Amino acid sequence: MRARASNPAAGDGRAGWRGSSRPPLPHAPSGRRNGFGVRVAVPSRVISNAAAGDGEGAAARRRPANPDRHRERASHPGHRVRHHHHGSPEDPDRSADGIGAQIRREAIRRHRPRRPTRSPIRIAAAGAGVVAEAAVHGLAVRVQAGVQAGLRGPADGSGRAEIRRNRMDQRGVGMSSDFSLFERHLDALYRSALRLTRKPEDAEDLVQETYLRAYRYRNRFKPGTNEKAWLFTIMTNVFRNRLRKRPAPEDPIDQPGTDFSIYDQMRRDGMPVHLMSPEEIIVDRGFGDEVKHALEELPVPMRMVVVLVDVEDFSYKEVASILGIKIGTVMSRLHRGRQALQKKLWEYSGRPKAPSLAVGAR
Amino acid sequence: MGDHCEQTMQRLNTYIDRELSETEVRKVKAHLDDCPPCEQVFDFQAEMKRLVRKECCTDDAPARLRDWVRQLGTEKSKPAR
Repeated sequence: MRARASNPAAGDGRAGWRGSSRPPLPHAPSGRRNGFGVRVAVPSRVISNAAAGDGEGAAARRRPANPDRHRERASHPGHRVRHHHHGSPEDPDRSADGIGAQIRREAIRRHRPRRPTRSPIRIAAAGAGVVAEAAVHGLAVRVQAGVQAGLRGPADGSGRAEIRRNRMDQRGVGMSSDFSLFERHLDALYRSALRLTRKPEDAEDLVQETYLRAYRYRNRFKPGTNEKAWLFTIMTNVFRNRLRKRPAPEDPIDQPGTDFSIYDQMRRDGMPVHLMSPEEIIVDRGFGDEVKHALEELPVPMRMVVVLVDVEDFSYKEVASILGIKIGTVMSRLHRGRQALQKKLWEYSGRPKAPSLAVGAR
Repeated sequence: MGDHCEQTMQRLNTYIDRELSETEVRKVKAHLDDCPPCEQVFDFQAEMKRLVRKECCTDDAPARLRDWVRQLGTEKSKPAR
């Protein structure tokens, strides 16, 4: 599936989070916040690393056109940013405020289009002075190709500002409908975040981080592809990165490979399982939230697969793409996850023993 | 449990997850029609899947989170000043 190819969080590996100063959860002690205490300013290194994770970014790291310039940029990530603002006093970003202001500034500065346009106008406006920077952005081959083809533009200082204005114009068009596409999956993301984090405040934080990233990288989403899978790819990656940074005590895996199903167990106990629904067996005997609790006790890899397949109704292929694993792994985790889930539920239900009505069971 | 039962049971998950091809679905259905014990297992596990979904779909996002996401979504449609 294509969601993996445009996965904005995949490259956001250990180094990015370890290197960032972003405190984990839920309310950061410093930085710019919105009304809900969420820090919207994200260290630029996080963004750089995340961006470098996809194909173009990684390729750019391997072939910087000007290594010295590349190094300088990497060691002084803020320098160019300040320069930009001095150079363009009428930059609309300067006066922007509200939730997305900082992210927008970051996004505009750091924006790397997945498919840079080959428009002669853009390339002409870019000018020769932009080529080196474009190389860092993974655009070197295309821009240089344009230059070689005779599309050289004026080599004055206006190139970069022009590019930024173009990007902003593109961003302003039709964007509100794009994001509402993402908004409609909020409940799904939240309930899955709850199963993953187990705590409402952590779930809320995870979902916010997911939407911030979706917002920041929304230009990488390919319209027409599965936006729900794209959002879940972001969320599961953010979640796994957080786990890595702050590992939670993990429940031991329930003897992998041990066959267990409530159906078989009840048959062994002589229960008339064919006359009962799982709901009667599990929910009606308990206190209401057994299924959620049982699910939350599964080891994370199994839990993610069961949530994605059983609750969110993703296909095996989609889950494989979201989690970056093989379909065979999805199937085996699902199988073991379901068995472990039923074992938990069986334990919760107080191991019902054969009642007198167990006549029909064989 | 016969060979047919065993083959069918191997397709339990893929069947209830709708991951089988039409041909395979027809094969499984044909066996389930002839084999009540297998059919009961399949019905039970399919019901189990529905139960997990039903029980886990009760948590909606809090209103303030919804407002926040909505606000984030309208941020970029503000006219550039």
